Amino acid sequence: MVATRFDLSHPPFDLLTLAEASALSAAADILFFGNDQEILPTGSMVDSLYLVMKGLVRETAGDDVVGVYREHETFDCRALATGKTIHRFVAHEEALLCVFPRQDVLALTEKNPAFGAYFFSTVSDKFGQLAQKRDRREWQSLFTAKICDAGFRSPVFIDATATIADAARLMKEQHRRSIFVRDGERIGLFTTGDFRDIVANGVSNQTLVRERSQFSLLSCEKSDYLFNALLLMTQRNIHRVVVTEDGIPIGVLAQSDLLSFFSNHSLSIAQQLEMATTVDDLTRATQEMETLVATLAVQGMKMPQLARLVQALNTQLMVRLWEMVAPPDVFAGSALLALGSEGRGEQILKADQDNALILAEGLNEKEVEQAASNFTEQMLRLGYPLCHGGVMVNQKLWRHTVRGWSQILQEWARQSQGDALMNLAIFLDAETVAGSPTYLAKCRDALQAGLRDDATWLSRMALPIEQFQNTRVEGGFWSQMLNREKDARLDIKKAAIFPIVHGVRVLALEADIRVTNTFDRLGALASKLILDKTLANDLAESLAFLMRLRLDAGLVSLREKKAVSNDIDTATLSTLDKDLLKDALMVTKRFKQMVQQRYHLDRF
Amino acid sequence: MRVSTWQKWRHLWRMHHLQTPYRLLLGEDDGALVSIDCETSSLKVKDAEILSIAAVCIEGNRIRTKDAFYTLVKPQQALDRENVQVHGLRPSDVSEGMPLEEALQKFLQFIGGRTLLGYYLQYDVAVLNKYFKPMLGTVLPNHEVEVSGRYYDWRVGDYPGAYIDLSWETIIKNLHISALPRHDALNDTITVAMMYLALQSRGYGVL
Repeated sequence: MVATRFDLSHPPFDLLTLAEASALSAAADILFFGNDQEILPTGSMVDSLYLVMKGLVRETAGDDVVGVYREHETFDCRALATGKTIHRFVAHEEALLCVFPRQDVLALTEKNPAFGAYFFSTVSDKFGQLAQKRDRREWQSLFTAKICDAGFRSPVFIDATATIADAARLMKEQHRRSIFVRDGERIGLFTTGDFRDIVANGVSNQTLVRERSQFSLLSCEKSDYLFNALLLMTQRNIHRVVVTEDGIPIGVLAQSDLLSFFSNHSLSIAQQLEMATTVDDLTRATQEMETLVATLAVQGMKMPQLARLVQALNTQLMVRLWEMVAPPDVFAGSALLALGSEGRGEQILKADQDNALILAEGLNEKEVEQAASNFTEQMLRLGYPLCHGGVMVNQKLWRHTVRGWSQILQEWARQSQGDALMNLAIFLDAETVAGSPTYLAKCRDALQAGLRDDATWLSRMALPIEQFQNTRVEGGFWSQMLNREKDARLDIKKAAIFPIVHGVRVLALEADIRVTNTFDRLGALASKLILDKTLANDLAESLAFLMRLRLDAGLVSLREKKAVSNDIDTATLSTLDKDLLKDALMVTKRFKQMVQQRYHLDRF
Repeated sequence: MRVSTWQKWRHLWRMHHLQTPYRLLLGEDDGALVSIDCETSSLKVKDAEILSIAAVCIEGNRIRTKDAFYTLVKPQQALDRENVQVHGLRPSDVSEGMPLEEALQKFLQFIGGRTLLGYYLQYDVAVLNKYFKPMLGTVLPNHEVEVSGRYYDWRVGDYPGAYIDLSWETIIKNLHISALPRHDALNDTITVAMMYLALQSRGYGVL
């Protein structure tokens, strides 16, 4: 039985109650438009909200295609509020549209705040709504995860004729809170909880373990849902269940295993890194980092926070590695820097190495070189690819004393074009990983002192924001979707992430804001009133969203053992994500225009 | 609308034989089309009892689903078990229905003198006429458009001489429309209306 006549199961209509959806469905008509037939001319009064049932609709501003709507997508959300459209809508391919009276939709937006928010919220509110959706996913994972996903421990057995003292010793050795007791055909469980009764009742430790074990065990199959195990524990008020495979016990699942599955285990990775003594120990920790990232992303952790967490772990990893490969005096007399996205703390999956060294005067050049090239090599082994541009400590260009750096930074600033300009940009995002941060501060002071106080210099610095402004990534993106090209991929780094990051970087440089994280820079720019607060918020939310898209795509690539790239296959995005991507690209465009005006980039 | 002399004559003949109260009603034609469908207790016209009637207007490129007509009809006799499986209406569903006489009156009010549209319309019209003939003094005088016929005309132009599949699913597929689930008679009239609009945009509407 269909609940409503028309399919209203897609955003934003999925936010309606069944009664609301039925009423709206009953108020709808259907319109048909042939190929290239105009649906709404520019500037026309709009008394309806349109939902595409079939076909393809294009939205144009002048000659530019600014939006594409396909099955289950809705337009024109802006006109719903204003009653007038500023763009033209045309059926690109024969379209069947479901038409809802504007008054009815408006009435619903008042009655149902979540539904209303979809239409009237600012961009950053919309992204917030998405985050809420993700919270729901966390709960879903509880219902979809299997017991085998939780990672229970393999069983330790003891013979039923062993004494309680033997059992206690075995449990201590094996760090177990429970062990299996084998008694002929029977299998029992003996747990730390049993000791409470043993002590309380003054039972001798020479008693056979058989007499104090529980033989009627509650169990779950390995392939069962984790939720069922949780239910069983809750219902019977027990702390652990036996995990079986085809009825044979293969382990014990404790409440704490369940809890740790749903929270993070970043602490344990940090601990592993701390205790690592060999590169192999580090390798194990980095492998777990990937699993952690995937789990936390699914559980809905916000991107800026997740990136910070990864940065903290990566930093720790680099410190430990540098400590292992560098002789003590080199380690003590140097500052290891993370540059680029790693320095900004915006890298979530392993990215190319971007690092540099600031050295004290008088270190043995040979020793430094050896340690540095060893570091680069080991980083590669740990899964951090080499940087194509050679921004790595094994390159002489990226190892200098404070004096050396000061000179070279000023030289880059003087040239302010080509490689020099990009190198400078990379260095502006430097963050000290190991060693004294005063080295970096001195270099920055020298750079800031040497910066020319003229506007043209900053303009040249800002110019790369325009470098990817070709049709393929921007205007061309929507026409690509219109033509249903097989290749609906969008390089979101070129299209949006780089313009945002770089624009913010230049603004921060001008204002001498020394933090490197883009979210922090945005906050600082907003509080210094250099950026409008709304724009700063929108940019932060857009960037976080883009990072999330890149991470999702990256995790898929990793699962399929493919190289991680910046390309997003827009054809696979959900309606909501496509909508948000559209918004994020609009915000980027707005920001680029602001930067272009501020630095008069049209002069170039 | 282009009609043959025979059709014109037949229309006039039927109008002439209409009982007075209906002559005015069925003479009103605003140029819209009405897609109609009935669910019946049997597929044989002679035995068939009407269980539900649906109708929806098409004006230009708009299907007036908002103002559609749909009613369940209370059958005179108990329902056959076999046919419940065909139309999906259980005795308990139709027991709340409208008395047949009232439903037919409301239906006439809704369609007026507009052209009727349907998929295998002949059958629906035959069942309706079974009741209308004694009521009106003649059968429904409305012009009729068979959507599968218009589909045939369109297809045959592209594939002369080929066998043309007129099944529901094939028509939906080839016209690239978004059919509603076959849930009730009203959904079917809406789907037929969508078929018609797709054909109309290909130049195969009412001539």
